[in-house]
Amino acid sequence: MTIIDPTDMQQAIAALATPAPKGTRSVTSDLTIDESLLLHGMGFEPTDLVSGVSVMSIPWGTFNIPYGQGSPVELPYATQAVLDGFRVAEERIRHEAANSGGGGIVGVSVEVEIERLSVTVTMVGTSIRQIGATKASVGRPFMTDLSVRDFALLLRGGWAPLDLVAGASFVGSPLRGLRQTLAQTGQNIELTTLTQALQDARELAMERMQSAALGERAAGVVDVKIIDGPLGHSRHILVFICYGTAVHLTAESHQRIEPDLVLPVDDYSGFEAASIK
Amino acid sequence: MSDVASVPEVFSRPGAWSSGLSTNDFAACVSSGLKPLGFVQGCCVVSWNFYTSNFSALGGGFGGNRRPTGYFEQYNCPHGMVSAEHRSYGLNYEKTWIEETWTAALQLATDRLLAEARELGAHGVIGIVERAEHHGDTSSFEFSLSGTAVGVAGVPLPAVPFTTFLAGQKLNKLVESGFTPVAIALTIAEVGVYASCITEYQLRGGNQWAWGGVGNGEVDQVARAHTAARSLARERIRAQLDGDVLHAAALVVRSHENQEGPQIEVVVRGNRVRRFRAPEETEPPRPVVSLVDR
Amino acid sequence: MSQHPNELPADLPKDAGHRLEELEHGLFTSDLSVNEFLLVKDAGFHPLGFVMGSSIYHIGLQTRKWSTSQELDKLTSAMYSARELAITRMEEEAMELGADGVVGVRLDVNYYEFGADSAEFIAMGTAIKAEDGKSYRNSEGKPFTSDLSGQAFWTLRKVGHIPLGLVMGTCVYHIAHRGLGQTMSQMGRNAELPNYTQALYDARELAMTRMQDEANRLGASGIVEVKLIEKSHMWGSHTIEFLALGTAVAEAEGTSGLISPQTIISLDN
Repeated sequence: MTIIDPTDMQQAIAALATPAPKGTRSVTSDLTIDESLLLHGMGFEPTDLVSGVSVMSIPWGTFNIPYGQGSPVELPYATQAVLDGFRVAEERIRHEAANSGGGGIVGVSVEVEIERLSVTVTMVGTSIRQIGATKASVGRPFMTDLSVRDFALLLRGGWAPLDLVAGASFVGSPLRGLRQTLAQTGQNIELTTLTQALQDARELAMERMQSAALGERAAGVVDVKIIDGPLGHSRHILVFICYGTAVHLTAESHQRIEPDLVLPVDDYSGFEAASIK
Repeated sequence: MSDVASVPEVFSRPGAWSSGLSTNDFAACVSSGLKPLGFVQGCCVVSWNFYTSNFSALGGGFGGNRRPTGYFEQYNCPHGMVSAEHRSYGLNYEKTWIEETWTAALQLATDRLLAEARELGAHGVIGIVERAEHHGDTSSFEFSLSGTAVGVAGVPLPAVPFTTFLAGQKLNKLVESGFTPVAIALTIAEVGVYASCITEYQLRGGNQWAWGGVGNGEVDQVARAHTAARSLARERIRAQLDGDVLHAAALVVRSHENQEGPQIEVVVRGNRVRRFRAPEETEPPRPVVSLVDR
Repeated sequence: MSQHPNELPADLPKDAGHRLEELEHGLFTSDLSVNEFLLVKDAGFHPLGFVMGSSIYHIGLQTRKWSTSQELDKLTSAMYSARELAITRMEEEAMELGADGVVGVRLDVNYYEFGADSAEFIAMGTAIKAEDGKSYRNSEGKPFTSDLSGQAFWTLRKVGHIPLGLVMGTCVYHIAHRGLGQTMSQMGRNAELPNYTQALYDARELAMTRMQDEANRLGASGIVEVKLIEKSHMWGSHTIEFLALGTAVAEAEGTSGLISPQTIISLDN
């Protein structure tokens, strides 16, 4: 527990009488105290809370699979809408970050809403820069959905985030065609066409994400998150979305972190800057 | 679930809901020179009527009973007269009347909280829990703030007691890292969309008709409304800061559809803090692996 | 290998070929968290790629006798084969990458609207390879699979063990309904229902024995993180699948031993 000298507290409260110096730039960030401390320790400071939203329309009828259709089909318009949604939302959040003088965005939370006729992609994160960096000196901001804690760990390991990369794929499976097939079989067997279709869809989405990462000259993608399953409003449509942070090695080689072992004697599983768990 | 759960610093103190301070917070507080004086609160219930975008005399100069104030954008129909159902225009408009009521309620609740704190001779209020709830029917709305009033020996009372969502350990860390708590900061932005014909087709069907073909496109009007609502909220919170820093800001967006189109509400809340001395070098954290099962 | 996509195992989708080819050229993907990523690196392994396998299986019904507790062997074998297929395909993807093993494996069963009696069995995890150039494949020459997290894998390596493979045993069991006379005679009394107890006991034993047999075949010295999962799937309450799942481990060289942990108590809340 951090216990501070009461005189520090007195000093802090007495300082309430003195407003911030005129002309000081106000900074907004969604970082907690621990995260701010950690970020500062790594030589970074927040510049602003930034966000990007895109709303993409999907043509009417995209999710209607014709009856009698025999085999599962990919839905290119829906896939494209999600990919475009990610691209546009990323452009917007990056634009806001650059405007605030940021060199990167950390802790980006990503939300994807798929309606019958539209896809909404929302991103919120904190724009950061190296302490003392100026607008002119920072390049195209990097972007990651990793928390400040993970960002700091990654840097310590000799790696750095490049960009958020995403892949998507939608598969519509015919309703009646399949039931007919099933009716004819009373046995326990594998449905090979369907297996193939779903596996194809996943591979396609992963492949799209990987291509995006390769385009950024990344060495890898960490912490891949997956949104997988039937669509709420069209249960016969299976969606597969994956996204993660493309990373590259900035040090000569990977730096081992050599962790210590601890045995907590309580049920606490949170985080404080003094001990990365 | 109340919105308060979205403020990370508050979320990490589940023990502090009704008793003011948890044992750990209390221990951290007294050992750092803060004297708890009492549990204080302030609340305010308001109501507002339901308004839609029925601004008078659109397109012909605003001469009617209500003029749009704040953010406003008009989207004209490119198709000419199609039918009576076909919307001839679309609007994005800021619901300033909701924002004003919300802000006034927050101000009243805060004033009441501070009055209670002053009564106790407090320097500030820590561990604030904020609740903003609609009561049953949507026409009434309550703001309630509660926290623990504290005093610091040997320091003159500030003109306005400080307020913060933080308490205990986190508050100590804040001070240790050279920041003083100033106030809790909250703001709102409400933007309504009255969908234009094109937006309607995009969101409700008939896309091909509007675009002359099948394909994807951005729903420009809605995307702009979302962006506008967020930037309004962020500008507003920055205006409150006056050179200070906002920590642990949470941006909560709620969006629902009504017959006009999507209605967007953005609330930003966080801790306003001020640097009172240069940051000290902190020791780099030590990575550990816990032997506890996850 | 990547120049000859024809060599891809026949049951992997064609898109997998292209994707895995990219991964062979040095890009890695992984659903490991940053913690796990760094710990896997610390244990001397490098992630190669996110791998997966799935199988959609039509699982029908098997005739049951109302008042007899029995194993439904056809269902047992269907449930087992479907998972086996998914895991094998995941292993094939990992082999294609030249992996030594797969960590963080998740086994899921999904039910979709389009097939009332069918379910998708899916296995996914992150393929890894040792950085010291030695092979850590198991006695069958296949990459090991394991549902251990990066943290657990690191700890296991620290104490000189290596996973050999994910082992499982399953048993679909029908538990007899009680006869009317029986129900009447026991009414109002608190008594054990011996046939229930016996049935549940038998089914669990069968599942666990099968899992142990698999581990023995791999030459394991033990099984860690055993989970016993009981589910009725879509068969109604008297037919239950008992699934025993764990990671078979054996001793291996190349470890530094566990440093003794510090006990801590956190004062945060």
